[in-house]
Amino acid sequence: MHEKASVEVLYFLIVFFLFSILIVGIIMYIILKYQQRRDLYYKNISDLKSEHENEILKAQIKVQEQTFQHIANEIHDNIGQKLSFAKLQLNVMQDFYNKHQQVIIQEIAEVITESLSDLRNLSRSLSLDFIANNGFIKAVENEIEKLNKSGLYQFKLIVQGDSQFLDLDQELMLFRIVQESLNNVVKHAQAKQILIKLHYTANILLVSIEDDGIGFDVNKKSNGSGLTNISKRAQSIGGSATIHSSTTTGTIVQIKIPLYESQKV
Amino acid sequence: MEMKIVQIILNLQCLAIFLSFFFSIKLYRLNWKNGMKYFSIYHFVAFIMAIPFFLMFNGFSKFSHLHEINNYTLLFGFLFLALFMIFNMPNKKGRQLLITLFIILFSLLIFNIFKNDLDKSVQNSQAFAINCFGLLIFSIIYFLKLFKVIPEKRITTDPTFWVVIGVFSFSIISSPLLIVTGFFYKIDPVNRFLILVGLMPSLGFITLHFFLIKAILCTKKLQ
Repeated sequence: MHEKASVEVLYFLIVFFLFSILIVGIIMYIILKYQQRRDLYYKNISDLKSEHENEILKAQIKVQEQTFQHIANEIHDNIGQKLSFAKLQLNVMQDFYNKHQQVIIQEIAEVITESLSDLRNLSRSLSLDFIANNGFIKAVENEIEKLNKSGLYQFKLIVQGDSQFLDLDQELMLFRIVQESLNNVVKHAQAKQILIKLHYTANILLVSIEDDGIGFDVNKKSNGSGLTNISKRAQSIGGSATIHSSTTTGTIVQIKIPLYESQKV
Repeated sequence: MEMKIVQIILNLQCLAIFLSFFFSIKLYRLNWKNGMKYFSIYHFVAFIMAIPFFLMFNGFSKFSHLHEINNYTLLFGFLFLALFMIFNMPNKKGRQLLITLFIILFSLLIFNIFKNDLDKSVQNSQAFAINCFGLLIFSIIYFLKLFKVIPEKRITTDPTFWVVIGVFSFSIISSPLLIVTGFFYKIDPVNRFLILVGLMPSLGFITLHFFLIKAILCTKKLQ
């Protein structure tokens, strides 16, 4: 009798155990399924948000490029033309003045020539045409040449690996990042030496801009939008940007851009 | 031995009810703020109703109107939990469906309790079965609708979710065995295994009240 009672209690416990497993299973299933849906929902929202931000950034960059192009055209076609005409006039009027005055006119003509050269460089660095016709590396060389004229910095450009053509948007964006970084160095770094490295590997292009300046605290929020612009621009062409800086070693801006099969020459 | 188990489980049921009442009183203000506004009423009624049962299980007193108390408790429990799920239904369509079901099931329950001429214990089991199946359907509809709305909520910290889980567990533990037990009990009333299985609703109540405590404690996380 006692043994029978024990068996019945055992049955009872088994039944309850099975029900408990069933309930726990159902609860786990509901929570997991819901959590999966929730994760997917928030992932979709964040994808949409970043897609939207990307679209806005692209539109901003497009407007900026159009403005740059307009300024470049104005420099080349309007200001450049006027200065060339002024230089021509000076050359013509040189014959009507005495020797001392001719020297002064010659000096003015030289200043105009220098200004014309500077403006041509500026026009090149703003214009899309230069980069489209000559490529990214040539544009960077041109930028270095422009800054070298000040004599304040020592530039070095190193190209490693087999250089590859990127599509025009990527090249333009990369060039703008280099420009922005160089602009930051000139404005804030108090550097003497600037090294620009372009490292082409099979799948990635690594661009780094290094200086030996005073550095800054990367985690500190700055008022300017330069660093944010660099990151956003890199992201807009599927790349990423990292910035390392210290007061002892200066600043390194590194851009990583994926290279696709179609871009390889 | 099985009588000892019966005694333990029935006392555990009362203990779970007392505990959930204690937590609901302790976190009353938080519950009020976080979607469990009137839930303390449920705990209070459950507490009051559990006292005579607790006294009876432990041999302190004998009540002659236990079936009536049971019926009114069932009626109140169904009314409260069904309305809670209707008000917390995630979408409008589901709410309308629940209201329709509620009207049908509640009428059936009232009819069963007040107009049924059957034997008191049979009538009581029928009312309990309507209550369990009704709440089981309600909670299943809640879960189905939960997967159709925008999943913004974190359900593991949502008190309503744990209340519905509690109701679902209670119904799923109680409903099927209750029917089978009733059927076999008529054939073999002395089978002790069936008496033990008949205790499943008590285990269902214990589970329900533990999930209600979980729901109450969730309001602390939402703070």
